[in-house]
Formats: sequence, structure tokens, C-alpha cells
Amino acid sequence: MKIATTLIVWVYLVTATILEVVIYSEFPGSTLINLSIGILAASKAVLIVMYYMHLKYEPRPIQYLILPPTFLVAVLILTLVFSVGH
Amino acid sequence: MLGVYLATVPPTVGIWSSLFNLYNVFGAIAAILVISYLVYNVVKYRRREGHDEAVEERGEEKVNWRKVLFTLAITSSVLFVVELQTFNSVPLIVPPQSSDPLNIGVVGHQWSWTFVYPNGDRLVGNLTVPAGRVVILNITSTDVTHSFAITGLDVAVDANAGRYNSLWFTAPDAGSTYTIRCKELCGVGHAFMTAKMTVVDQATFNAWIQSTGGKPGS
Amino acid sequence: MDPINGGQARIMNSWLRRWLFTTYHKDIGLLYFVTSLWFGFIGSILALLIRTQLSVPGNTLLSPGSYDQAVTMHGLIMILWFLSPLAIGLANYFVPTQIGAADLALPRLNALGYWLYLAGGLMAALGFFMPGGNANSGWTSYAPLSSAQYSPGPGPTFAFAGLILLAVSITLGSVNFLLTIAYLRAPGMTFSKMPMFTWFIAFTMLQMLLAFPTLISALLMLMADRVIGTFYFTSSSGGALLWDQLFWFFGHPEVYVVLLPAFGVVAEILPVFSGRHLAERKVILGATALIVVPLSYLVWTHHMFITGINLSTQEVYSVSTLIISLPFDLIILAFIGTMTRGRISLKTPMLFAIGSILLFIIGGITGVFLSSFVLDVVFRGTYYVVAHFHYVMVGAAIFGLIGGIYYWLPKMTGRMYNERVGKVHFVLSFIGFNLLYFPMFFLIDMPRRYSTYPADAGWTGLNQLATVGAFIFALAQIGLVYNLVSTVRSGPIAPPNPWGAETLEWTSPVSEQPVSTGRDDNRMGGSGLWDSPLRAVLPIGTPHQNIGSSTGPILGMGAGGMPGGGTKGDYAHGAEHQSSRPVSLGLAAVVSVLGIGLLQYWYGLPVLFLGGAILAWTLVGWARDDLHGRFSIDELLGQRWPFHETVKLKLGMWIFLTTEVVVFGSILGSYLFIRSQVPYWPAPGSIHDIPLGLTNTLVLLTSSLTVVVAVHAIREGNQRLLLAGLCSTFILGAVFMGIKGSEWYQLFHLENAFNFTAGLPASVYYFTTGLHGAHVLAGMLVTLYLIKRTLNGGFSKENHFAVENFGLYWHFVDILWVFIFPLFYLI
Ligand code: HEM
Ligand SMILES: [Cu+2]
Ligand SMILES: [Cu+2]
Repeated sequence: MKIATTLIVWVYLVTATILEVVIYSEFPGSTLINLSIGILAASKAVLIVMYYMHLKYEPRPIQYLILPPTFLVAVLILTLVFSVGH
Repeated sequence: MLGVYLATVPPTVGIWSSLFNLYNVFGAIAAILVISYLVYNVVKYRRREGHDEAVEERGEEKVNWRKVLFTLAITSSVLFVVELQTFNSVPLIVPPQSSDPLNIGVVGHQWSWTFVYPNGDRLVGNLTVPAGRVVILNITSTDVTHSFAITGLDVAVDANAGRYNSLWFTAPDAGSTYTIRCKELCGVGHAFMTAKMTVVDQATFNAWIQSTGGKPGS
Repeated sequence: MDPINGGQARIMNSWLRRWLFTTYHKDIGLLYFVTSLWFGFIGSILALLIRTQLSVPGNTLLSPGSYDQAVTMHGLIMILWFLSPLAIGLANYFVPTQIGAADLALPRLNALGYWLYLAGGLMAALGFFMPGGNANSGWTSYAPLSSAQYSPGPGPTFAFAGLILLAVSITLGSVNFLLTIAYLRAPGMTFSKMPMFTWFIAFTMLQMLLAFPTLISALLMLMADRVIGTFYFTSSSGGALLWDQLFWFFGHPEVYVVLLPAFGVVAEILPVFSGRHLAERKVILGATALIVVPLSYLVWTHHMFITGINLSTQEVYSVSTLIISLPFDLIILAFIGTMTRGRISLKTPMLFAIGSILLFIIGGITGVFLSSFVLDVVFRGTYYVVAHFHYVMVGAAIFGLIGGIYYWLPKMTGRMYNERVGKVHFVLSFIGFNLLYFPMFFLIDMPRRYSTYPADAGWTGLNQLATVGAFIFALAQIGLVYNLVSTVRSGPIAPPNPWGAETLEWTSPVSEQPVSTGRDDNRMGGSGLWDSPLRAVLPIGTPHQNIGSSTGPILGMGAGGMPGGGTKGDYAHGAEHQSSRPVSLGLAAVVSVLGIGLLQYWYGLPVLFLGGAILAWTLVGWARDDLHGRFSIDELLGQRWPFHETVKLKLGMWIFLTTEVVVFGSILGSYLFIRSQVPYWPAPGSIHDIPLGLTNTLVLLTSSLTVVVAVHAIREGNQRLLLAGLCSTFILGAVFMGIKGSEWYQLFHLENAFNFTAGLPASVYYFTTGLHGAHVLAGMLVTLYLIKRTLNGGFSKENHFAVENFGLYWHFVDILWVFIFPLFYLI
């Protein structure tokens, strides 16, 4: 991985963070806005995992390793939130 | 006198016990079959004196897919049948669309049950309901989690602080009594957290509830 | 000096050193084995107390308070300090030997796991002696009964903290075992040849790996509630349901964690004693790997059918529970099919294996009953459930493991047990067991955890049957103890492979000495053993080096009783294998937990500080060991499929990070749950300072950049840039912590002090950012170590894996903040 890539990722991370704050302060509150902030955060996480943590360049088995816990956490959160009420 | 018998079985008990019977039948058959197969094998192929030296070849075995699929097919059809019946028994949990249910609040606390009647009356440890009427209990707790169960009516639900859970039943026979127990550990008084439920006929119930100041069943 | 006494002192000394400092897998295995049996003994005493109390209605032998402690600790101790660790003990001893590895991948971590397990157990047991007694809210520790308000006092705090230690121990252990199995198999030991026991331990570890982190999170929140007064489980917005979900998300996989090692043992015993191959091996493995393991994580709300969760959740989880019973069906039929056309030899191990299968059939079928959410309305919370899970946990799991003990005893001690006593042990256990638990299936209307019951409830007869069964079952275990002790002391010398088994542990040159030092790559030399087809190499005529020198293991059951007890002096060979750091970390854990539990008294804080000091001292020592290469771990590339190109420690770090994903996933999940339930939440910006949060986010993101630079630098051999990168990372970390600290300080001094006890928003904020901060702090400590090592010239182009691994960790901590920032500041 080149240093340039590293820097580009960093610039994205910073920009996305600032964007999150801008979105929040311009349009606070609504679900849609929360969603877009969430997507920005997720995209940052993916970039860090892929480039900084090098997952993009690791062998397959290691790449797959991260899927089960992510999936389980998703199931846990969905069940938590949707098991009460109707 | 089957008719009489049926008439006096509370609907929740009818649902639960016929479901239980179904599971018992299939469960017992399955257990007997598999255990017999096990015991048969152990007895039949037991090493006997004198045969001890027999050398046994240990060839690698191929997966017998047909057997696997057959097993899966049999088991899943049994499971399907019983689960279907479970889904059909959901009315045990979901109150019927009754025109005239009686709603009573239940509050669990360490270590007794308080019943809140529609007229605002609160009674500790004593639930009185009219016979033959759909009763819906809305259950909550003021402290730890309890679990409200009426022995003999096959209904139960947890009582959580800050939330309401409900259950329903109809008790057919005036004059009968039931014991209410707590099924979730709630501290040192858990085993003693009981209450009594008395079934009276509708007229007696109305009279009783009016004597305590409220309107019946509003 | 008296030469004899001097000699004895020396022997004593080296005996102590061996057991305290060992990192050798067989020694650790024996430590687990013996310790778990002791915990089993304590748990059994509690069980007999329970059964005696219930033998007559209205009994006053135990007060309700004591009874609650007894059931609670009986459950916890039996499941977590007896059953699982017994399996872990066998796994420690036999997994490496079965796959031809000289030790586990990370021996010191293995030792640490044992000491944390013991530390946790001691804390949990200590709870009984505290004012107010021990934990008393059931092994499920349902909130809010387990909160400080309803279970006050240091006893429960000790028990819960002990549980945390145990959960950490198990999580570390699972990383270690998975790494070992993935990485250290001998040449030729492919997955398709791997013995069943090792396979099932691998499955067990996969279950532990992602189940226990949730328990850790839940317990940490519970401890925060108890110690600093947050509201995770005491408010009605999170409360009981949140605990139920988190606990059972751990709890259901945990029941398979308990079961699967026993299945592994049974799968070893059956073919050996039937003289046949295991039938449908591939089906068993496939069913477990593809259905049991993944699906076990997706059935947990079947424990919550009547908690008030909605109907659709009940339906979904009822169906998933049914699906998971299908693979068990296949496994059991394959087990039974293995015996068909065999020559079944009914020796004790086989008897227990058969018993295990038989009892599992009953336990499994009643499990299907419980999966019906309508039937469960009545079953839930009654003795029907108690009967079900004892059939699986005691019947299937303990019977299976006892079979394993008999099976491997000749290997572990070099001696044979007494077959007749073994058979009597089995028969009495089987009768006692069924008499004990079968009646409970008929106690459908008797609630669990009743400290006593009235005479007119109609439960007396069944309870008395159970009590009689309990005493028969307990007395039967004298057979086990007798066999263990007498085998070690005076059993006849065992032939090298008494059962004619085919797995590698029976052929491996067995001695109690470490086969290699901790320094090499932990793999037995390419003996070529596995290059030839499995059958050709097997046991016939392997010299059994075990004989006569091997009885040291059973924790020095008296030096005199051991034939040729030469192992102790010789053990010096393994000195490289010894480390004092694990046991001293265990001590640090005990002292710290004591401090936390006693915080309500004036001396709590000093004790806590003492614990912290021991911890710091140990960590510095550990780091110095590493700096001086005293216990270096190789950094070789993997050679076994599928991890050819992967560095061992990197794989370890990734496996570890999966557990961290679950830890924080469940914490953030709890936050989201609370947010979805709570009626009021302060608007973003009204409490937390967004510009400060933004600055901090940018600081942390930048620190990730500097780590990348550092890794990059050393890959190219540039040590100065590495140093610069590490130092900037440390500084940025420090800035982050500084800003965080000032934020906390300001919040505490708001007009309406936003402190730990200021309500739910404060609870989740402090807990989440606090735990994250602790991770940053830990990362900073590692940076210090790396800086020191860089200054010593410890890194080079070829040797820099520690930096890379630290990078992985640091980026992960960064990612956590990427989510925490918007969740807590912006949304
Ligand atoms: C076919 C397999 C199984 C099925 C379908 C099954 C199903 C269930 C269900 C639905 C419950 C919840 C009952 C309730 O709380 O009302 C339950 C409880 C339990 N099961 Fe199983 N189970 C199975 C196998 C096992 C195994 C293998 C173990 C352990 C080795 C186990 C241990 C437990 C325990 C400990 C509980 C009760 C926990 C508690 O409330 O304290 N089960 N089982
Ligand atoms: Cu209770
Ligand atoms: Cu379960």
C-alpha cells in the first residue's frame, strides 16, 4: 500500500467526520439524517478496516473472520430493538 | 357425559393439554424408537467371551446420503406437525376478541400480588373473577421481575417493572378456587408469593364489585 | 544443614515452582482437571443441601436466603467452574498431543487463563463468607434482582467479578485453542484426519469465542450499576429485558459449550470400543459445523418466551430452535450406527459414553417440547426445565466427560483403573441420576428455586424420590474418586495403548516433560508420522515411555506414593517453559477484585490500589521478559491450510478482535435498545460539547495515520521514522485522553451535575466512553513498550510483527470511536 493511499483515506475520514457534524447542525433530528450519519460512520469504519488494518490485502480466511461477529452483533441489535412492542 | 366434562374445562387448559398430549405422543414414540435402537445395538453386538480375538476391519465408510436424507425427512415432518399445532395454539397467548372482557390489573411486588379492579379497588393476595367470562390480566411489577402463573389454568407471564404484559383466561366453574404462584426467583419470599383466585358467578361478582363502589366490568 | 531436610525443601521448592510457574499444556491440563473436580465437589455439596432441604415440605434446614445462595452458586459453579473447565483440562492435555503439537500456540496465555479461572472461582466462593452472603439471584442473575438495591453487599459483587475473570479467561483460551488448531497441526495432520475430540473442542472454542464477550459486557454493565451507580439494569427502559437478552445471547451458546466436548469424547470412545470406524464422520462434522455452531447463536430468545417479547419474535426463535434439533438427530443416529455390526466391549468408558447418548435422547426430546412457545408458558420456570437441562448437562455432558476420564486415565497416569469399581460407579450413577431427575418431569406445576413447599401442593413424593436419587448419585461418585486416587497410587502399569485406539495421543512419546522449549515453533519435528496413511503408523509396538515416571501429574498426591517419582527433579529441563507472570497476574486480579468488592468500606480503595500495583509490576515484568527475549514467541508463517501466508500472532490478533467486536457490539446494542425504549433523551448538543468531540475524533483518526506510517517505516527498515510514528501516536493518544478527561470534568461540574448517577443518558455515556478510554490507555501502554523496544533496536525489516499487531488493535479502537462519536454526540 502506498503512502498516498493512506493519506487519501485519512482525508476521507476527516472530511466524512466534518460532514457528519455539518449534517447534524444543518438538519438535526430526523431519522433520515440519523441514517445518513450512520452510513458515513460505517463507510469510515470500512475504510479503516480495509486499508489501515490491511484487510484488503490479507488472505481470504482472515477476511472472512470478521463477518460472523459483525453478523451476530447485527442480529443481537435487531432482536433487542424489535422484540418489544409490535 | 363428555359434554359436561368439556364444558367445565377452561379453554386455556383445553388448548394446552391437547398440545401437550400431541407432543407427548410423538416424543414418547421417538424416545422409545431411538432408545430401543441404541439398546438393541448394544445387546446384539456386545462382545462375547470367546469371540474376543475376532479381528475387525475398520474400513473408511462412505456417507450414506440416503439414510441421512431419510432421517431428516422423518424428523422434520414430525417437527413440522407439532410446530404447526403450536402455531395453531397461539390463542392460548392472545386474548380472544371478546365483546365483554373483564380487565384487571395485577401488580407484583416483593412478595405479594395486588389486584386492581376496574372500579379502582385494590386487593392484596385475593383475586375474584366471574365464572364464564373472559378475564384479561394486565400485569406489571414495582420492583424485581416476577412471573405470574395460575396453577391449573395453564397461563403465565412475567411481571416486569415499568412494562405491562397480559394474559387471558376463562374460568368456567363458579365456586372453584385456584392458586396463583410466582415462577421467577424474586428474592427470599419467592416461595411464599402466592395468592388465591376465587371464581364466583356473574351475579355475585356484580354484587360484590358494586358493594365496593364501582361499576361492573367497565 | 540437615541434608535430608535440605533435599526435601529443594524438592518442595521445585514442586511449587513447577505448578505455580508452569506454562506447559499437560501441566495446565492437570491443574484444570484437579481444580475443576474440587469445584465439582463444592457444587455437589450445595446440591445435596438443596435436595435435603426439599426432602420434606416446610423444611427449615436452610433459610430462604441461604437456599437462594445455594441454588445460585450451585448453578454457576457447576456450569462454569466445573463442567466447562473439566473439558478444558482434557483439551489442554490432549488436543496438542492429538494434533502433534508440542504445546498450545501461546503457552503463557494458557497459564494466565488457568490462573484467572482459579482467581474467579476463589472470589465466587469467598462470597459465601461475606456479610449478607453470596450472589442469590439464580445462575441467570436476572436484573434487577442482581442489582445493588436488591442484592446488596460485597458477596454478589465478588461473584460477578469472579464471573468476569472467568469469562476473560475463557475468551483468551478460545483464541489460543483456535490458533493452535489452525496453526500447529503436525505435517500431514489435515483437517480430514483430525481426531473427533479435537474437532469438537474446536467447535466449542468457536462457541466460546463469540458468546462469552457478551457475558463480559453484560457483567461489566452490571458491575457499573452495582459499584458506581449507573442504571443499565435498574431502569425500566433497559432493565430486566436487556439483561435477559444479553444473558441468553451468551447463555444458549454456553449450553452447547458444555455439551460439545462431551460429544467429542463420545465420538472417540464409541469407535474404539465398538471396533469400528465412526459412522458418518463427515455428517457429524458437517452438521455440527454448519448448523449447530452458527445456529446456536440464533436461538437464544427461546429462554424468554414469557418475558413479554412479541409474538413474532417468539415464533421466529421457536422455529430456529426446532431446526437446531435436526443436526443432533443426525449425530445421535450416527453414534448409534457406529455400534452396528461392531464388537462392543462394555468397559467403563464405553458404558459412560452409551449412558451419555441415552440420556441426551431424553434431554433433547424434552428440549423440543420446550421450544414450543405455547407449551413453554407452563414449563417456563418450573422443574420441567430443571429436568430437561440436567438430562443434557449432567446426563449427556458429565457422563460423557467421565467416560473421557476413564478412557484417558491410563494415558495420563500410565496406570490402569479398577474396572469393577468403574462399572459399579456407572451403574449407580445411572440409577441415581434417573431417580433424581426423571421425577422432575412430573413437577410441571412446581416453580424452580422454591426454598420450600407446602405439604398440600402434592409435590412431596416426587421430591423425595429425587432426593433419594441425589444421594445415590452422589455416593456413586466415591467410585470415581476411589478410582482416581488408587490408579495414581497403585494401579497396575497400563499397556501403551490399552484400548487399541488409533489417534495420535496414544502414540506420542509421552513424558511429563515439555517436548520442546517455549522458544521454538511448538511443532513436533517432521517425524513423517502423518505422511504415511493413518492406519499404517498405528500403535502396535510404540514404546511407551510413560511407564514409571509419570504419576507426578495428579498434583503431587503425596510424593511417597508415586512410583519412581522422578519427574520433579527433571523438570528443570523445562525452565524456559516457566513464567511467574501468569500467576502473578492472577494474584493481581484477586486483590483488585477484593478491592472493588470492598469499596463500600474504607479499606477497599487501598486494596484496589495494591491490586493495581501488582498488576503494573507484573505487566512491566512481562514486557521486560519480552524485551530480553526470555520467552519469545516465534513469528513464523502458518504452514497449514488455510492459513499458509499468515503470521501466527496476526491471526491471533484478528481472532481476538472478533471478540472485541462482540463486546462493543453488545454495549452499543444496549445503548440503542435503551434509546428505543426511553421516553426522553436530551437533544444532541445540549449536554456534550460537539466541537470538543469533533476535535477528539480528528485527533484519534490522525493517530491511526501515524500508526500506519510507523508500520510502513519499519517494513522498509526505517527505525527513526518508526520511532517518530510511535511517539506521535502516543502523544495523540495522550491528547485524546486529556480532552476526554476535561470533558468528563466539565460534565461533572455542570449546574445539574451530569455524573455517573445522573440518569440513563449519563450511564450509557460514561460507561461506553469509559471502556473505550480504557482501551486507548491500554494501547498507549503498549506504545510505550514498543518505543522502548525500538530504542533497543528490537525491530527490523524482517522482525516487526509486534508493531503491526499493535496497529491492528489501535485502528480497531479508532473504529469504535468512529461509531461512538455520532451515536453519543450527534444523534
Ligand atoms: C435438541 C436440543 C435442545 C433444545 C431444542 C432445547 C431447548 C430448550 C428450551 C426451549 C429451553 C428454554 C426453556 C425455558 O426456559 O422455559 C431450554 C432450556 C435449557 N436448556 Fe435446552 N435445549 C436443547 C439442548 C440443550 C443442551 C444440549 C443443553 C446443555 C448441555 C441444554 C441446556 C439447557 C439449559 C441449561 C436450560 C435452562 C436454563 C435456565 O433457565 O436456567 N439444552 N432448552
Ligand atoms: Cu418470585
Ligand atoms: Cu437455549
